[in-house]
Amino acid sequence: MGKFPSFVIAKLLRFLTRLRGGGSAFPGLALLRMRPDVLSETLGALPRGTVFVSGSNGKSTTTTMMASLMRAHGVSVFTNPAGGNLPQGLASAVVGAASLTGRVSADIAVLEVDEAYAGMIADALAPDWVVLTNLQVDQLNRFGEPENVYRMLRDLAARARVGVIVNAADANLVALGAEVAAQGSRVEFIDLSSDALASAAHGVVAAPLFAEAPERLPGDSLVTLVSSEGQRATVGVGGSTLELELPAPGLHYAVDAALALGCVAVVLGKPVDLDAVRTAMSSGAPVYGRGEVITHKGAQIALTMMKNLPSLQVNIDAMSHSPELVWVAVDEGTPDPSWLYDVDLGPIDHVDVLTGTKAWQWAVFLEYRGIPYGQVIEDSAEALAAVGSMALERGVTVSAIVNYEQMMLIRRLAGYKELEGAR
Amino acid sequence: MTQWFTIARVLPERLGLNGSSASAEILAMTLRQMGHEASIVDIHGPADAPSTADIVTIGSGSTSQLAPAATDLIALVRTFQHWKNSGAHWVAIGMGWDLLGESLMTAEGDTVPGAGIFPSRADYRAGRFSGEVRGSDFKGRESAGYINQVGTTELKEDVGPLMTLEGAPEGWPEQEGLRAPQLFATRLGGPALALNPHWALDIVTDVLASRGLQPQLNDFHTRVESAAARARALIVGRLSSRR
Repeated sequence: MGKFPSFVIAKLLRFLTRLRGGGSAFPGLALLRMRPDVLSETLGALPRGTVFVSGSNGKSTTTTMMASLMRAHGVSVFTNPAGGNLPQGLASAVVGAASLTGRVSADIAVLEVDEAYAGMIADALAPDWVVLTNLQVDQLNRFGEPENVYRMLRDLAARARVGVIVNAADANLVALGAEVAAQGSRVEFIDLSSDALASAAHGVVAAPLFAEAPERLPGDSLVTLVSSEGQRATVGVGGSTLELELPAPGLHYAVDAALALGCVAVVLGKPVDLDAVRTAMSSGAPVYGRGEVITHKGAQIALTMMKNLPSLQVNIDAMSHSPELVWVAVDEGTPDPSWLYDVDLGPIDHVDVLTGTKAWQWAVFLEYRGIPYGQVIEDSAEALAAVGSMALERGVTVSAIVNYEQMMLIRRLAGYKELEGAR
Repeated sequence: MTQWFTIARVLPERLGLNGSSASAEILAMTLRQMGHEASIVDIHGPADAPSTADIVTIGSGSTSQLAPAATDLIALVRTFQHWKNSGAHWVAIGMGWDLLGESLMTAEGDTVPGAGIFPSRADYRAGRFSGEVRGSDFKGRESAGYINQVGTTELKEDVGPLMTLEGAPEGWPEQEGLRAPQLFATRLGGPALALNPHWALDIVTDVLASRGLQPQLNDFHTRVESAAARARALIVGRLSSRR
């Protein structure tokens, strides 16, 4: 189908799905059906090219930070909303940003891509840069073993037309970087000081090492994370030291910020504007569901994502005190929660409410850990009402530990309907 | 009267993927709640090994851990034989079971000799299955969990399966796990004992019996079984609705 009618139909579908409330990947799916090459047609010729951000965790936050930092340097950015990292999600973002003639007005595309779909997306749109956040034990029900993810990320990295940027605190990414460098690829990296690494009880929670890795990658790091404490991070970039305020506390956010800054520095090809970086970082809001605080009928609910063991562990490590009102909500989006038994719950000394179809598996886990729990309320809407009342009665914020699907549901139940690019 | 029990947890870093080293903690908690003391000793090599162990646990691992784990286990074979001869009870999950069996054939067709504790042979040339399962165990009890494993494991004639899967996935054997005196093995994932506390109680009961003791159940064991039964019922419901 022609470009103009395709975009008219896709935009109409987008309008209708948004009228219904919330976002959807459906318009993107429809556009891909009508124009299978739409990603390369619209994003393939942007003057500063395309950056793919992939890895086990931190993709959304790194992508958001990167886009923000580039905009702070006067670069016009096309990006996909958090979570919309499959082909249909990317195409849906194109539907929203493109004109009716299918033109996207931007200097660069910064795209979060799902590791399993990265190859397919790279077939449609060759990346100039590939940024890899980490390789952690993640979704074994989906990937089988972390080694398979290593291969996916390595194959993606090998397809970068200009270069690859890795987080060198992750030994597997050092191995991966060395592997693709040996094939002639340009490999850049960010690294962490030992103080920064020690700031979180479990470090960067990297997966066990699968391949032989050199001690370090050759050359100088683009950015060094010098220290991380709460929502503050100190980074070294281009011979300068910079204090940053992060959108949420934790070493993982500091690593995301360092990667974003490193990528911006190398893509711009000139020294970064330190004031612009500082301002952009301090004004950045958390990506939804990742350290975000939402309000429901006057109750504040802080959302902590537990997509997998590492994501839960790094968020627990970032807790400075025992949360007063704890709500755990997990459902079929976490098909196999076996990894729970590897979590160090740190300051979490009780759970008030357990919700979702995996709530009873959490209850069993807490029993064996000797951690008391209150009610099991399987239904999310009922549980939201209950924890909201408890929060108001006690005058505290709800610490909600949720998987991705429950996060989306709870946000919707609380009236937050601006999600787009849903899986 | 309080008794001391030692649980040896073998290679927890290499063979502890996805919660599969938690068997030790579940058994320790089950014993402690009966008023006994249980210590968990992580075994990385012969130097870590206590002279005796009441229970030996081993978890599962990813493919890249197969060769290094097999190498590490060679150094422990004599220790294992000593523990076996002195009456230890063995609890093995996934790849750990296969490495403690008689042999393991890799996906590439190479044979890795096992430690010979479990009378079984593994073959990793078959594909991976990942999903929830349910069935009846060797005592007819409803049991359930999650399998994420490659290949199959063949039992020798003198031992029986732990459970029979109901509606087993296509190409996946109906018989799951291994159960024999002092031996327990399964391909169900990490919290297999947690989701099926009756198995943890079976093992602990056998361990206590070897010292002439009876299990003393209390509210904890009742609460755990109640929560686990609800969790299993949801698995059963999900599997039934998919048919």
